[in-house]
Amino acid sequence: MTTPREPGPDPLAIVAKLAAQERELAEKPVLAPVVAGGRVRVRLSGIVYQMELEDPAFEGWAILSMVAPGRARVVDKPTRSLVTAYLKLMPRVRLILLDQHQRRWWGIAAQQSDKRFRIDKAVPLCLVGQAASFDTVYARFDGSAFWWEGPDRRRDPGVARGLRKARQDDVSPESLHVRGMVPQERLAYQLLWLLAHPEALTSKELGAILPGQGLENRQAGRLTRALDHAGAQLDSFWNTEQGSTVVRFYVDGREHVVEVRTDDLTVLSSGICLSDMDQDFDLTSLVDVLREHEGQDDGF
Amino acid sequence: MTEFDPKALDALMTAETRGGPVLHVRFQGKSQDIPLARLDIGPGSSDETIRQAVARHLDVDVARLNGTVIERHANGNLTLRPEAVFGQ
Repeated sequence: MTTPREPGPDPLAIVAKLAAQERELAEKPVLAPVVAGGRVRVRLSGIVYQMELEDPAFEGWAILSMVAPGRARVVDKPTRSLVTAYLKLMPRVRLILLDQHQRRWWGIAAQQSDKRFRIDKAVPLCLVGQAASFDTVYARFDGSAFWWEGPDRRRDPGVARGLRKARQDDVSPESLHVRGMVPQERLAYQLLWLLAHPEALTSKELGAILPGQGLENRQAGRLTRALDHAGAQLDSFWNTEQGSTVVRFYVDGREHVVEVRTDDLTVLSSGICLSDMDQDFDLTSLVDVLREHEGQDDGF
Repeated sequence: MTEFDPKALDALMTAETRGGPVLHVRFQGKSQDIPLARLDIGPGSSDETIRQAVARHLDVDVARLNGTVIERHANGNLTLRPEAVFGQ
């Protein structure tokens, strides 16, 4: 005996809603941060619109105007006060900078006691101003990316200088002594040192050096397995106050950012329009759906 | 100095434990992973055979799995999931 399927959402209503949102986006200039590659995402009523800039080399804060579906142009440079007001809409976090990879800075949480986020891994930080390894900085988190706000001027810069000097001298973590260093700064140093000395790394040592972040990191392992099942690669993830997890990963080299329920990985927001049926899928099954969607090549 | 590579850092911090191929089932809002060996199927089994094995495992009528999609991955794993309906 078959179970009758409940009627789905009205496709015409969905199309009309999306068209109205697109018109709204076309009529109003928007303030947005833009990273290299010229892609920008704007979220309207829960739907993420991705646009490509006419100038793909542009990077920075910009006032944008949509010139065609999926394409935007920089029309003005926002004032510092406008950018500050924008950043203040997002929760603030403190990060300790590690190093740059492909012109992007990465950092770890400056404190593990932050109840709003649990940043278990190194995270990329966008549009960083003047900075150096081990600097403690402020960033704002928009749900999928961390945006540079500025240096933490209350933190003694002598600590970061001492750590940079120790790294230059290749001092082992066991021999590291920097006056005023806090545990997360030591962790940042250990991470960088381990990357430079993989021969020193055994699972036992990793567990000892990175308590709670090594092989015992159950959440990272669960997300990795969920994605690996279908051939996708975990990049990073962040937990939110609402009990969800934002996961950034790659499918066939293409980046995706998806929000899932933390406990069972049910998809809350897939980043694509699934006719409000996102929760039919979990992280693993979504990987195939994203491939199918890419195959359609239907823009937004 | 070694070039900083976040992915290498990620790999260091993540456990990689892999067993035999697994079928991931997403059905009626619930998920489970079932080793293919337990279902007595393989990556080359037909869709019909896979649906019948899953129906037996879940103790549901195989007709309830009509409309599901079966994906085969390069690593030998399988996924059974609902059909996706894309908006425009």
